[in-house]
Amino acid sequence: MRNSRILSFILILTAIIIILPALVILLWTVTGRWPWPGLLPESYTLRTVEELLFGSSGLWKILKSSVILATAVAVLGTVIALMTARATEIYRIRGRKLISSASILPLIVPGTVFAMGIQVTLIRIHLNDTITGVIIVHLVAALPYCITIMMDMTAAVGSSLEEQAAVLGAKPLRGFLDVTLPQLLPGILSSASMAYIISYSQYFTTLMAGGGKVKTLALVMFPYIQSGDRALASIYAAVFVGSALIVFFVFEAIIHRIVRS
Amino acid sequence: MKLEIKDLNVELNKNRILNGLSLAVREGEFVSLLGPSGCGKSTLLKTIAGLIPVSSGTISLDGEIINDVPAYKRNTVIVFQEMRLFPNMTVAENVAYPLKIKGLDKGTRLKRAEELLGFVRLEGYGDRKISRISGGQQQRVALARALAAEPRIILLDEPFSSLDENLREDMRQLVRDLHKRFHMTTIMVTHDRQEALSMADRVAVMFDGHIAQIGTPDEVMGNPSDERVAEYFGSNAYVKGIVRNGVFTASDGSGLTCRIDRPDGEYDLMLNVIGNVKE
Amino acid sequence: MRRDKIVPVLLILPFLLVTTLVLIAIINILVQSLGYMPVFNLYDVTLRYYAETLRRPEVLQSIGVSLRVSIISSLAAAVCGTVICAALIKTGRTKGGMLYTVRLPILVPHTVVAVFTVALLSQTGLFARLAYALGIIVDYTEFPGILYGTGYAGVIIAYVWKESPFIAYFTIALMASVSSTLGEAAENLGASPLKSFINITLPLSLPAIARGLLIVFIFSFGGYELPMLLGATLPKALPVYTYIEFIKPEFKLRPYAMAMNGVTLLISLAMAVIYAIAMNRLLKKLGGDYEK
Repeated sequence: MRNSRILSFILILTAIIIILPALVILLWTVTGRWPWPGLLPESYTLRTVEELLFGSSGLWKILKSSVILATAVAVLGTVIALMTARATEIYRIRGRKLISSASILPLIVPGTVFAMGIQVTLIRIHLNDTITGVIIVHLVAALPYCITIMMDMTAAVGSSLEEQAAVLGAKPLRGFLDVTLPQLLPGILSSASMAYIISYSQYFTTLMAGGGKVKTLALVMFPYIQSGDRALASIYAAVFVGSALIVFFVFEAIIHRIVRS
Repeated sequence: MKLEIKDLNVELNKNRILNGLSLAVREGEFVSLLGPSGCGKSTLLKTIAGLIPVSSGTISLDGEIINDVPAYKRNTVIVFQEMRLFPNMTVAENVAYPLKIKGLDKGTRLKRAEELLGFVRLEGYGDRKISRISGGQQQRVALARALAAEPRIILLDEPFSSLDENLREDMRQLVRDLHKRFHMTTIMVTHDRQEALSMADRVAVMFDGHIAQIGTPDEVMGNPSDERVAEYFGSNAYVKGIVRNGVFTASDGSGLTCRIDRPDGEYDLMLNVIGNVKE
Repeated sequence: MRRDKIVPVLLILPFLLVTTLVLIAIINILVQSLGYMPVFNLYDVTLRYYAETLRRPEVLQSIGVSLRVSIISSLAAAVCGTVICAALIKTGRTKGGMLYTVRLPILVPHTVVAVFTVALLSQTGLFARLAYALGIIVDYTEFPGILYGTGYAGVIIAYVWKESPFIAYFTIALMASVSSTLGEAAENLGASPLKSFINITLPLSLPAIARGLLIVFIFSFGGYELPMLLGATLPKALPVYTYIEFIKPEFKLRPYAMAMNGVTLLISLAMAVIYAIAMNRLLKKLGGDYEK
């Protein structure tokens, strides 16, 4: 089986390339001095970590606002996607093809272009530099993915069970909540987790719509990368990836459990 | 090509699917594999074809053990239930695909494909798209494509189950004709008892991952090896005979007659045994 | 009106609202780039700003850089992503640890990807140190300037690192189902695993790969963070340059920035149209109603 050995090698190489930078970053977070050309740091310190986590950096506040923002986008994005999917896949609303084409519009309009284009409008409706404004622009970025997931899922689950519930006397909303929603749950969670990650990752749109007043992790770490402060940039990066991973695996674990039962 | 399977065990996701299965198929023989759904029929075909690995036991073709021969070198072709025609190729290209793999030039392989399409009565359909022909025609393309590979053994996995009843009889006849013509060693999986009994030289009855009985249709029907086989066939029996003036007379000399309101002609009479009349 | 007429309309409303925002953004860009900005007493509708912008060599260079980065990144990511996807399927690792590992870069934002890239590929990064330890270089200045150079190699590598897994994950469902049915049938007919992949599985997986490629192309063409953090001072990537023009305080310059946004938008739209046409042909070639 020469072929499968080559393929395994490719996968292991891929895994190394993916994981190696994260390990190096972790090392940087506890590095005191790491002069050229040493392969490992010369001295280690927890000072920067302590300062950032327990000092006056405001990291917790930023983390909290990032999480709230991303959660709002995840909930809104998934609810809107679910509504859209019900309209097109179950109610077979007219113009379904147009709707599904329009849903990928935000993927075709680059985020930078959208953010600079919508700014005037946000100012006009007094949503610039507000968390609501940021939620709206993040929503635009996340919605195409949410809609794709929810449309596939809704089409797959269909309406047959709901019809059965209706025949048995359940009101439409009741039927949906009782029989269809539980089946949609894995899709709902993966849509939410996708939207969460997308919002969590936004830099440019947050900068434009939030005007620097709405602070998120992705935003505050930018200057440290620009100034070349590797230790600080690495800690922010580690906090970012770590917190994203926790959210991601919590979602995955729940999906896994639901699918199993 | 002679097929011999000894003590075959197959596990999928830690579930034992085939359980000490042994089976011998003679050169040019047509064997029907019969059994309830979930008994491992399709798994057996895929294992013979090398698409599912053997856990233990041996599979040999003409005395050569082929356990470790990769699927693509076995030349044991399955006609899948869902046909698996390639949508990115025309009808002729599908049929010619096994010849393309063998490196035949385009002219030769398209000529051969047209010839094979003739065998399955699809002359002139070569340029059609797969999505533009009917289910019955697709099934015949799948048969022609399998023949193009010149398989050492041909494995039919419920080949007619997706067809309407009237098409099904047509296809059965076609498969019988092709078997007569090419005399290819054939295993056909089915759960239709009548189909198995009417088409095969021998019938193998499968339960829980092993062969419960193998024999000619008469042997399996008349002399079931155990109660499960008996029960499996027991409820139905078929008697060949003729109807004349509204009266059916069995042609097996059993003297069975009964009134049937049908036009004159040859018939299969199905008897359904409802209760236990032993006592 | 009957209930079953009203319900779908209510359901679709929020989506229409969001879509309207995108359309408004597009209209804002077009209107402002054509010089119509009543707030600043600019009323003439003219193509002057596009013409002047497209005559500036820095802008043309920026367009060139962005096109180069996005074309190379998206093609390379498509190739790597397809290989990773095929490897995952063929080795039976379509779930579990390896798949989670491959999905990791999808969770990592571009800002963090930039940190990763610097840590590994800068002249004092890990690879430079390894090269020194192996005696390949004796001074860090000898290590190739992958980052901040006019070739944008660092940006491309960063995009490929992040987007290859995206394409692999985007394609894996389709490819796995094709491979386990039609790919298997081809092998059963005598095709070697490689031939079966090239003749059957790959062509039938192309719709998903192409869609992923389009998304990655537009993403890297309009992306700001990576070229800003890892790119050269000059020429700048188009979005970076556009933003600099955009935040200039002189309001009279705004139409120029918007014209640059208009160019970015038009190129992205053109790519989407090319994709749609190619996809239409591809689907026909892959057999009539294959779409679903």
